[in-house]
Amino acid sequence: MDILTFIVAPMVLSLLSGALAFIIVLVDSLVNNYPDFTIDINNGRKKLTAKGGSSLLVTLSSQGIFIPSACGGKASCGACKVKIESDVGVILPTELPYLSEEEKKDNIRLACQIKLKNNIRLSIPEDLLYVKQFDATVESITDLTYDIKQIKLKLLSPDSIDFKAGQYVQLIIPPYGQIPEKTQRAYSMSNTPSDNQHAELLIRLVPGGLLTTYVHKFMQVNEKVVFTGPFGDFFLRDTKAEMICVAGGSGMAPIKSIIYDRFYRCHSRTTGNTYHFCLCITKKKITKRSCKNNFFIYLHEFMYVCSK
Amino acid sequence: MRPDVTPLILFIASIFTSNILLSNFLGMCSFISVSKDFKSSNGLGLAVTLTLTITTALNWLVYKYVILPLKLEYLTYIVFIIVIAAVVQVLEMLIERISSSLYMALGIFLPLITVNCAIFGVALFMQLRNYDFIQSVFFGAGSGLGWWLAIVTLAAIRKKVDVAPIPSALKGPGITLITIGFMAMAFIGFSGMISVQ
Repeated sequence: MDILTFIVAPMVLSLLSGALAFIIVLVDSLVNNYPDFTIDINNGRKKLTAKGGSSLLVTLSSQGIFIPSACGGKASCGACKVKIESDVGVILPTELPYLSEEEKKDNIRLACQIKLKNNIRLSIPEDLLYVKQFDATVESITDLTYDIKQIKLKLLSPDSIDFKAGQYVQLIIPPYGQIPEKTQRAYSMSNTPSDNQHAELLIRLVPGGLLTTYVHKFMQVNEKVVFTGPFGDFFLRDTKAEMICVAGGSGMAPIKSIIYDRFYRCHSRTTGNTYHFCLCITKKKITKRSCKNNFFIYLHEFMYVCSK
Repeated sequence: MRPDVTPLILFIASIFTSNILLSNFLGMCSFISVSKDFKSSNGLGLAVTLTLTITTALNWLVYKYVILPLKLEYLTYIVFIIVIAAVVQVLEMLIERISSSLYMALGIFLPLITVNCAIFGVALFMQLRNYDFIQSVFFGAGSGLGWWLAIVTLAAIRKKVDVAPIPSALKGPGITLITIGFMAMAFIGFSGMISVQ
């Protein structure tokens, strides 16, 4: 075996691989080059034109329509359900675990799994058309308990958010540490709709959690963050019915917003409606006193139950 | 070594008498797992046939005009695998664009064709037996069709076996392997007709 072999063999292999890779790239650019398609939302309510080839979730969000998605398009949360009115092919194995029999019949699909290959017609809740992406800065980070932080975001653009008490936003954080891509997770807003300049979130540190670890270990005051919202149909309806709220830990965020909102609004009424609120929390995380001081100091009619 | 075998004989022989699956037992993993469903086994058979025909032809060209002149026989395995992987990649993109229902039906097995030993086996046989280009193409296509025939047959038999009273210990892979054994024996019946081994 002469010395040339040591040069020839790697050369041949790399040239061959390079040529094949070139063919793959060439075919990819030819085959996956889709033309523009129209997306018809809610029967002509909104019409978009977008380049095909990527998922419906990504295409819609690049056009300013934000379907809620906690996992960011990995088919692991099942949140991005949309009703498809035109033919997009059979339900994929990745979607099956998230769809009930009724949803399958209604042609509900996961937006992150559908590739835009045709003109498409779909229905989404009307509210989602008003969902926007917000730029904000972190105004304050407060320790509420040993593992829950309250972060208050000051909105920059748009500078106000129109939401209902109890709704949530999707917080998006940049890549950090070992995490190579953006992460987004859903958090309820704990401020009231009357304070529309801010979004206040309660975030509990989940061991190993991508976003919660970032908020607890890396997030700084005055840092810029991005979120989309508002989402969700868990919000305060305008009735005089009695209300029972049950929540624990950082799950109290939407309840705080709802209770405060109810309180501010019922102040304007003369009828002294009584509301009963039960909050189930463990003593370790939050004491009765600090809870009252932090959250519910103004609520005289508020009945409070602290469980073990 | 066998310049006397006409391509057509070779083609028929590789479908029946020396079926790559049933006489050499190559490509078993996807053979067993996909044959549960008739439709996807049909699709996989088609994909394997296409891949086999294209890769055998390409590998023959690469072997003849790159490996042999440069005396790089020891790189044969790596080069063959690289060519197969690239062809499968291209085929996957094409199938996704042309027929998304076939793409869905094949699922994970399409990329897995890359490591289907039947495809690599055919490439190696073609080189060991010194076939010329035309022979290789017919050998590849024939082996693919043979694999297709075998998997479709097995899928049909398994449909029938599903409702047959089988001892519970044998259900699933057990009875499937026994069925494949019987199929292989049945295919031996062809072997008197032509021999190309």
